[in-house]
Amino acid sequence: MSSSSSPEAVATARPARPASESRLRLAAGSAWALLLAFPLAWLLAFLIIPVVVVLVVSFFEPTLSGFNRVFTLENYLLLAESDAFIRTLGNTILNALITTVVTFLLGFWVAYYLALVVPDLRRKFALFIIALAPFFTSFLIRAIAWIPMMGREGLLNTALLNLGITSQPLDFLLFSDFAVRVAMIQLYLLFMVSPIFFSLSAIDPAILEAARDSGAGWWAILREILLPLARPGIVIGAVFVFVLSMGEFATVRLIGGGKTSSVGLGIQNFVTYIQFPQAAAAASVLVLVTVAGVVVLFRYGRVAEGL
Amino acid sequence: MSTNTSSDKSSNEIHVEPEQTAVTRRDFIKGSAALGAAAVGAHAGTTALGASPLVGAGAKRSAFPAPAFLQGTTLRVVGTGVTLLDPIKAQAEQDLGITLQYDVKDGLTAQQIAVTQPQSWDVYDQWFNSVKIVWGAGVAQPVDVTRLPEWENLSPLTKVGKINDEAKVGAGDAPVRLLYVQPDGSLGSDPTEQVSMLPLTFNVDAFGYQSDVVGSDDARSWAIFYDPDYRGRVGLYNDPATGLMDLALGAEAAGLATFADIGNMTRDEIDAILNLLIEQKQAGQFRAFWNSFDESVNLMASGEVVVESMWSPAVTALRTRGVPVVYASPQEGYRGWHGGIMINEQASGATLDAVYEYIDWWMNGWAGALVARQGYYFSIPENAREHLSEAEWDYWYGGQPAAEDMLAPDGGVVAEQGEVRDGGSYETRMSNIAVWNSVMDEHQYLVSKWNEFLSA
Repeated sequence: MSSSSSPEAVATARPARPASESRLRLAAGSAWALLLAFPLAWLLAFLIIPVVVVLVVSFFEPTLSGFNRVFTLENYLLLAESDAFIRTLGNTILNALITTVVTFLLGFWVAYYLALVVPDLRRKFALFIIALAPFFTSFLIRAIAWIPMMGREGLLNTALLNLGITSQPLDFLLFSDFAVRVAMIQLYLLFMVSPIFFSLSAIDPAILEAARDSGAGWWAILREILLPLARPGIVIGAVFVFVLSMGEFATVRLIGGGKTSSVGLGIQNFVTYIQFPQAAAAASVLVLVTVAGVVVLFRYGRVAEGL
Repeated sequence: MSTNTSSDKSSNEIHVEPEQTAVTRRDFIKGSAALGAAAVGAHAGTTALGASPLVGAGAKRSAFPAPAFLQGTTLRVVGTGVTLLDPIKAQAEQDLGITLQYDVKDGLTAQQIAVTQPQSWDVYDQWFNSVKIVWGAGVAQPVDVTRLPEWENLSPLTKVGKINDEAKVGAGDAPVRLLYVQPDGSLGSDPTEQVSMLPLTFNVDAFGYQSDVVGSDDARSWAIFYDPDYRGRVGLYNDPATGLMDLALGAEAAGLATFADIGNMTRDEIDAILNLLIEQKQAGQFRAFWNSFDESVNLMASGEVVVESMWSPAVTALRTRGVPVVYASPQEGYRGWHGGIMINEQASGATLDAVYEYIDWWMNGWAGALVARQGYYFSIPENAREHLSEAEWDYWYGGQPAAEDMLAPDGGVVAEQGEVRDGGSYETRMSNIAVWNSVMDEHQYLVSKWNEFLSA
């Protein structure tokens, strides 16, 4: 912290008054400490303490109306023995990976277009705001909107039937893994677009010009310049989408209609049945797996190098 | 405020309300400032929010005296949309001079709030299948029936267990088995003067079906849930204490499973039925699961399902929308449920007095008549009758053809002149309860198996 505060202090301190420099440095240091104390307290109160509580409760013995404060490993053993939980965990990871990859494949080009193809800044941001527009409505509304779209008597099925493409409604369009993935991709696309857009926007056009002048083709520019320079944005976008998808339960419940599951939904079910220790055990496993995924993303994304 | 004994309520309100608002807002600010007084803050805050009661302009007064000493008391009621209805709230507020704050949730969420946030409610208006869990959590106090003059008129259905000698009691958590607080604090059927939940609204549940798709022969039995003709068009209720009962009755009827006691299954029986369900689910038999009343209506209205485990007001809602849905009367018998009111352990003083007044108001039947128009029965049928027209009584309770169009509380037509209620009269329907909504001894085991079923 002191190393990060010293440039500030030096910049503020006048060379003509060296005596006050140390005092200023001290003042700047405590200002930084104060500034950092708030987010630290925030993290402690709303992240660290809850996670610890969840971890502790996951070792308690469940009862009909809550739990007894008696240590047990039973909750974890039940999860480990349950094929359904293992399968659900696998499905959750698979859905998160699919969502992350597809949002990248779609989102990169949206960001590319916004950042590099659209010429002036004003139009860029106008289009970016338009891309944001669906996100002015609530997350749940956007999820629910898929039901009249993809239902048995929904828009898509009616269109397919009327065009003579299908002879009966396609059931897999709603209440299926397919439907959940489509909805999640739509819901999280922007979390991928935004960081990539900002990464690409930060690229000095002179670099691209120089590359072109040196005879680099479109593909070479993409591979050698754009992708490496956009990497921090891509990794941050991937972390957003992966973490959100791993914790997903509302979309799975609404669009999955009970036909598909996620660990998040399982946790929610345990909570509604007042089986908190089992919910806490499943939550601890989910947090562990999600953090592992994020660590992998940061390590192989070498995000710090690009910043 | 307490000295104001004027019988003219409207002038009363004009004088009282602004003062009331000011005081409670100040309390609210003070309350929120003190971290330790979170509960006080919440309480005062709700009073401030609800301080201008919009008593329905057209609401008629029921013949019920408003006790002046209750003026300004706020009751926080958590429960479900089955009984927490706006007309009931408006009428009770007008009759009692109290402020009611209704927190309307689905059944499982209401139960979860009752157990985990006991500081947030005074009255728990829910169903007997949550009594074991809520009473077990120690957040409720017994209801003293000696404070309730109408207690002696309460139906034998809950006091004894059946409406007459010929009727079945029904397996599982029949209300009588959980009604009386025994001297050791446990719940049982031996009469005492203290009850866990004061029984009010009840009905029998079955399934609904679209009559233009489903043959009425198929709809005679719960076995329809496993009928391959309706593969992929079946909707289920996501609750192990109730939805499972429908499926168990169906499995028994279809010859797919047997139970020694369907209302209290053993682990082996739970394994057997859940394995069957997982098998059926993976074969695509079930289209969707619902959690809230609205979802059950939407699933049927959007054509996603044609057979669905559902509640009778959902059928009412669909019919007023023009969806041809019929509520089945399965030959194996119904699944019964009984609602009622529990009192918070912490309630005391004026709040507790208001709770008893509120319960007494309920028992007087105005609300019972209102829920009758949704297809529910009331634990003191004679008191509901006083607030129903003769035609309404004959249709809803008597099982007779409607002498005129039957209107829902919102004014929509539920049944046209000449229609007969499915399943017949009150006596016929309530004598044929196969099983009650139940929390079994192996409930926790069932919950984790049910979760596997949902994930399968």
